[in-house]
Amino acid sequence: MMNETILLCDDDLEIVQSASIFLEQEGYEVIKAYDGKTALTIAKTRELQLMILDIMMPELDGLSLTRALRAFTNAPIMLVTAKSEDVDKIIGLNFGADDYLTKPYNPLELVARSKALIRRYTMLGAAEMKPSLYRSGGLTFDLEMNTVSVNGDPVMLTATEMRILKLLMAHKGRVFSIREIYENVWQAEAFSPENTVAVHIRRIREKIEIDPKNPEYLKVVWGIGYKIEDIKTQR
Amino acid sequence: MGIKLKTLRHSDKDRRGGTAENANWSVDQAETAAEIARQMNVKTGKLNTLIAILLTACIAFASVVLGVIQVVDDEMDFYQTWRFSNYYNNILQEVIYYADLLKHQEEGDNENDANIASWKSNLAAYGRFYYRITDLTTGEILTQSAQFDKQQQYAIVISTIEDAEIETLYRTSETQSVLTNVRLYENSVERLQNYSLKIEAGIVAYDDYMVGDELHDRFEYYYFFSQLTPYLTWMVIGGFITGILALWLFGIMIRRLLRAPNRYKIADLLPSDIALILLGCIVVLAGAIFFDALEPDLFWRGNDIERAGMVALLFVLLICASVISALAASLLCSLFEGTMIRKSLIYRFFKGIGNWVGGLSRALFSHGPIRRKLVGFVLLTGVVVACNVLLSMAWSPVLMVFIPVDLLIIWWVFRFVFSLSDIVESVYYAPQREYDMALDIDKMMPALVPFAERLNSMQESVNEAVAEAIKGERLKTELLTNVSHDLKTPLTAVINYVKLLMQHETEDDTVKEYVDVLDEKTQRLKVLVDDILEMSKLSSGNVHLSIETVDLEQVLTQALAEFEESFHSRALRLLRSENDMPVYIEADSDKLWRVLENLLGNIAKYALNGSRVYVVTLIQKNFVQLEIKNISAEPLSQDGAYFTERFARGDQARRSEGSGLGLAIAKELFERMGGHFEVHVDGDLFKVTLVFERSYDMKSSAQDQAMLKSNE
Repeated sequence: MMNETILLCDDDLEIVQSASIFLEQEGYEVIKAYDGKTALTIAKTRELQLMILDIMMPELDGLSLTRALRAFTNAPIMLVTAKSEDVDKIIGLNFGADDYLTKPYNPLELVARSKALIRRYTMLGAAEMKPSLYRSGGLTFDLEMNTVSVNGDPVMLTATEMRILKLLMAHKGRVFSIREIYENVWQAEAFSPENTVAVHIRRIREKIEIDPKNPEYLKVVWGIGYKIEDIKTQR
Repeated sequence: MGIKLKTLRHSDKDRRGGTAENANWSVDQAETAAEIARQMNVKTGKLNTLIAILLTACIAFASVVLGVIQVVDDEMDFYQTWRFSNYYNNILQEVIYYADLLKHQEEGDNENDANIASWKSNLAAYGRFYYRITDLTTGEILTQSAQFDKQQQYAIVISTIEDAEIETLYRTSETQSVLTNVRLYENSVERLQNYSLKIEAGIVAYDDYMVGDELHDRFEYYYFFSQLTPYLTWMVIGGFITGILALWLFGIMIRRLLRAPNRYKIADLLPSDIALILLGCIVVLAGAIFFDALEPDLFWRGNDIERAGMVALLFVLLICASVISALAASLLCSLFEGTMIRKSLIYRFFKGIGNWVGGLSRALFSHGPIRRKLVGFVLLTGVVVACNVLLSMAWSPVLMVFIPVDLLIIWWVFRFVFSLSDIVESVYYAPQREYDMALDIDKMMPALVPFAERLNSMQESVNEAVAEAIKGERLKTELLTNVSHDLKTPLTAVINYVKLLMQHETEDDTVKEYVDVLDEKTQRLKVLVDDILEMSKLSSGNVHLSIETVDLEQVLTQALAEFEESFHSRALRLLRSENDMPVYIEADSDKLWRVLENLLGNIAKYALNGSRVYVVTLIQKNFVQLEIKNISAEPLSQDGAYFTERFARGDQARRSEGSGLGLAIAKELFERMGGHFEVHVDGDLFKVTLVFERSYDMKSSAQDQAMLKSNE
């Protein structure tokens, strides 16, 4: 199997050094860059499977770099920033970034997210688009096989969890209240379903999310219900 | 010092109304007067009322009597009035004297020849009077006026006196009636009783008048007053009103005189011209009473009503005299003082107009309250319009003169209004406009320039403040971003290397232990940095809330589900109030989750293993109260308020994880949402109370919001 190449760009030397060690441990080839301009030049000459970019960089900041990169490549981009404002996150994702990680991060999470992005990028291109397949980003639900996988890795869910996830994935983006979920999944009048459903949702999240506290797929809409984020796949 | 000040104050006061001399004694006098006034206040009040009532009664009575006496002959012929009878009775008396003289002569007393002759010529002087005296015992005619028979034929009043009895007929071409007014005086009756005489007398009606005829004069008076008859009622009412008015004035006068006898003279109280007019009126009144109405004969020889009338008139005359003397004295005083003109009403009137015009022009052209300016402009315009209309009605060419004045005024008013509207608009649009919004001072009406200038400077300072605030806000945000970047970047590197260290297999347990400590501390540092940043964002107001109607029960269910496992791992038992109905509140649901996350996270960290956790929702009429209670694992030494302070922690040693900012953040966030956040500690019981305002807006309930969101 050919080694995937990751472009790692941050103006902080130590962060680049340390992070690259973690990524190289996973068998990726890491190209290091310390400013946006260099990163752009490298991205133009090399074929990359992932670009990890810091936002606050001299010369060319991460957001502008993302926009410039998106002009010629579909490879996944992960933005890393010290800012944790929701606004920055939204801007970053709108500029064409695929994921967003705030400093200080756990290097293991960086690795997990990188893996997921690369997997999604390299595998999903080959995967056929079956009509019997619900998909949101790296999360897929195969109706025929009745299996769930995240970035190609199968996830083991209980029957109830499967039914809940199936309901949510069938209507990506729609918010289901606890009562609705209960009535649809249990096929019974909701009496006091709250806790049951909420706990099931939490369990599902722990199985499919890299960071269950900051879920990527199964989101909590506080006071209203739950939904599966509709993540469009690149290209 | 005090006295000096007082003197200054008083002299200032006197400068307006009095002379320079007044100023010298007014200090002492004012104090004495004030003292007297204090003492006499009650007495004076009563006395005033009494005097007022008395004087009103007198003057009213006088005016009524005057009216009645002068004009009582309403619808009476001249010959039926007292004016005639008074005159006629006197002549009759003279005739009786004459008759008496004649009888004396008869008895041989010849001394009176000259006397008789003068009486005869006297009687002949009453031009229209005729008489005949007959001795009844002899039937001889003693004397008679010339052409007696002819005169009796044309007589209009015919009297016959026989045996001291008189009968008088008033004879016109149509009617004939008895004149009861014509009487004999008592001394005449006595004289007549000595003899047996018949006296025939009367008045002949002529169309023309003789010069110097007293009867004619009397008729003139009669005619004049009979013309006034229709106005009798009004005269009486007028008399009353003037009486009351005069009394009121006198009341004030007297009260002031009593309070400060040396300060006030009557002339000070009445404007001099009014006093002059009053004086003239009273003099005329007194003269009329004295020369015309007052008849001494009537008093001695009239009937009771007439006598009473005379008494009243005398009384009125007395009052008149006193008032005249008072007025005259005060007028003379002011004349000598040279204050006569200054004290006149006309002077004051014109001075008032002058002041008013001065004030108006000052109000219009200099700065002052804007209301006064507006009123001034309206009045000015009104006056000009009124002048236009009135003068051009009187004389149309005036209009030509007024046209330029009108144009000037119109231009003026328009400029004023435009300037004003500029100012008003500038105020109205001030929040929307940016920096260059100053009013053009040159275009402003001079009267409004101060306002415009004030407004400009105000807006300038507002702009400065806004710019300052924007700059400060930007600095703060930049600082936050920079600090977070500069803290987080090295921390990231540290965490990375610690993790790398941990991956290294090492035999040395000490190294392993050290690395573990490093790992733990970096994790704490991470949490701390995040919390500090969140706290500073909160306190700098850098938090945007999107408040909507939220079902609190739903949020609680979701939040509790998130902590289900961590509670379970510490064997915490959750006891939650049963609420089947949704409980709607106004909140930002994401921020509410952050609050609950902090609170429940604390419980998961600090609650006693195996204890119970209570989550209770209390629904009140206007608010919802959420209580979260748990038993602390460590003894809580501080009171509740301490825990919401920054960097506050249950254990003073600060060994446990957490930044100590959790509750402070929760409180700050919650209070930003408009709720009330309170921590109570009772022994080991740790209780957090959250009070939400209850939402009754069911239209935007959480379920509808869900539908909206899903449709997007």
